[in-house]
Amino acid sequence: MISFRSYRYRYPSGRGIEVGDLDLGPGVTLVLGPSASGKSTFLKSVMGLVPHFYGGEVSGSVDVLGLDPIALGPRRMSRRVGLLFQDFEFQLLMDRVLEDVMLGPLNHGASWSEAEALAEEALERLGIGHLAGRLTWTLSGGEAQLAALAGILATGPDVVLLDEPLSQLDPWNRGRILDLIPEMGDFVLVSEHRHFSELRPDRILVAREGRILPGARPREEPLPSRAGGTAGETVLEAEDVHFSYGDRAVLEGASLELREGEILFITGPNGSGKSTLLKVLVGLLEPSSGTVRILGRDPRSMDPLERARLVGFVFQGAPRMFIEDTVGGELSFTSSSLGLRVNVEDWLRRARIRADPGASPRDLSVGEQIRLAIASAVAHNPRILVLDEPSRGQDWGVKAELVRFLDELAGSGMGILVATHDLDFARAAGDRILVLEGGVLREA
Amino acid sequence: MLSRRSLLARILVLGPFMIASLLLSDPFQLSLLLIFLMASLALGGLWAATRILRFAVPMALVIAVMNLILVRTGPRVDGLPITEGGLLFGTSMALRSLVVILSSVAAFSGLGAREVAASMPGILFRTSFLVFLSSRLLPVFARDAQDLVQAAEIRGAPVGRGPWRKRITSAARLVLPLAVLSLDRSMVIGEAMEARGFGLSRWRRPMGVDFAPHALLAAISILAWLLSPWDSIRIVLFSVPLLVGAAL
Repeated sequence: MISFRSYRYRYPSGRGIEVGDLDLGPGVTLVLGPSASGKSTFLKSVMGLVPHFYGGEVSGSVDVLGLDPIALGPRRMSRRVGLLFQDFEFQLLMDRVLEDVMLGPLNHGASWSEAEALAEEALERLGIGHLAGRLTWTLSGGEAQLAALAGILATGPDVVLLDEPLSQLDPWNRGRILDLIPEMGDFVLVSEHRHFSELRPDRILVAREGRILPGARPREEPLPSRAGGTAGETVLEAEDVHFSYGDRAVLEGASLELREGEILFITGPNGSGKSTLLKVLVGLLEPSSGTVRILGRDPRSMDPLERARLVGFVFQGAPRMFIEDTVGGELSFTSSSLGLRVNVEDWLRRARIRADPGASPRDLSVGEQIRLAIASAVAHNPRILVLDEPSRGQDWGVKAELVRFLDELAGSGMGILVATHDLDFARAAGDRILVLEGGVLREA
Repeated sequence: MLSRRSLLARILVLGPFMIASLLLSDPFQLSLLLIFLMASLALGGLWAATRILRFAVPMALVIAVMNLILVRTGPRVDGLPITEGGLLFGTSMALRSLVVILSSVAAFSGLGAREVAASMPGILFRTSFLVFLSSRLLPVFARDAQDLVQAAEIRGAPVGRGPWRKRITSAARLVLPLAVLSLDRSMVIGEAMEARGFGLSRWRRPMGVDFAPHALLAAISILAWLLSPWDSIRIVLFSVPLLVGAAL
């Protein structure tokens, strides 16, 4: 049993969670809630990471299978509890996947050969045995998430805590993980923004502004769809594009055409090369063969300023790419390089960012950060906007805002290209969807 | 192949070459030793280490010239301001330096910090793991830096182009965001290490099977050196077991 009694925790910054009295029996517990509602902190309380790692104030008690995480701390709790982090990329500590998955069993006293056997079993269980020899920093987001999950399962924990485990996965991998979740441990706590219908939890908790309460299955609302627009002239085209990282071929004849006013989505399995394709299309990477044209010109031959005038690009994990320390500075970044002036207040209104231009971009909410990154990429009014996984880890409300924002930008004549594994988002916002698989693009 | 073996196995094969070079003084024998060492590297898949010769050869020439000038023993070489002793000693020193540099570079060539740390008997586990972890993070930080540079470039502020002042300003602009990113990363990594039970057990990579044949061959090689009846074939008898060790 996992029991909370009058439990409250406050980070040194003042934010925190309030759980009160709560008992969780075996089976799957789904913790639902929007971004920054306290879901991750709740899971970290079960592991003992709060207050051990963060400091802060704690009151009340937590009992996990007879253990006290507040007294024992995460290191000793790790013998019975495994946590998949939201920032799973940095949970991978070793250079090769197999050795990383072995790390938990080795830390818990297994011999090298025992750890190797446990790691291989965990990798096979998740269907990623082929990744065993790969360098961890070369994995795609989805592959890294599965490798991190294998690292948890290899230790055979009784309690498995999964912090947004489906955020990076393509529908195929997501289905497999959803099937596996009930078998991962005696107690499985899953935090997510939304309820996946394939997951049949034994109970649901709802996180709202730091309060964790028993709840019911919410009504599933589809994302609002884009009204649709009129496509104009071709602004970006690629034909028979090939690209490899060393011996590993990523693109093997990809072709596409993007028109002005159109929102084109590229989806595909994890590790299929979506991010690489975007970088090739905007000229950050050089294709080994094939042609890319932005308004009829090769982007690799363009001056960076000239290219920036035509293309806005938002990287995956865009908020990490903020360069300026104020919201106004971020919005004006490209325009100032081009000698243009930006109406900062107007863009804050259009992107629905309720912040002062002098505020730090890192202090904005998750949804505002992604809209700021997009607004900064388009404030100088480029012809093309390219977005890499803009809906990653975003809740329903943020995605709905994104659909509206992209619709407005496409309505102004901008051609928008989006790479995502989020099919709901693609269906709601896209005019067309292409699938990248085996290095080539095909209509969905 | 030696390139796939641990540091210890590499040291057992390449170390004897290094020690032999310190014991020999005849330039012909040292040249032969150098040839056998290079053959071992070719057989052991460590040929890439010979790239160090681009730097080692000029350095060896400097050593040779300095010894030519400074060592004034034996008769003078006709018409030149150098002595036979200086020529012999300078050549030996240069060849010896090539053997020492090449064998030590090859021993570490292609090994990650974790392999090196794990090969050190008695080294403190936590220290060696943290040394490894720091090296593991280098590609992550490098990727962060590359992403930021690309983000700046695509936003019209390329780094490392234009006049010097502009290059410095554009690079300096990225220092703060990179520092913030690195701090974020470090926090998550620290948290992950705690959650994965780091420090509960002092595990080590097993090394027993890996180096046993190499230890045997190194012992045969040393015996051949000690028991060889003729100086002229000593280097050959000594090197053959090491060549086999390199190929294993």
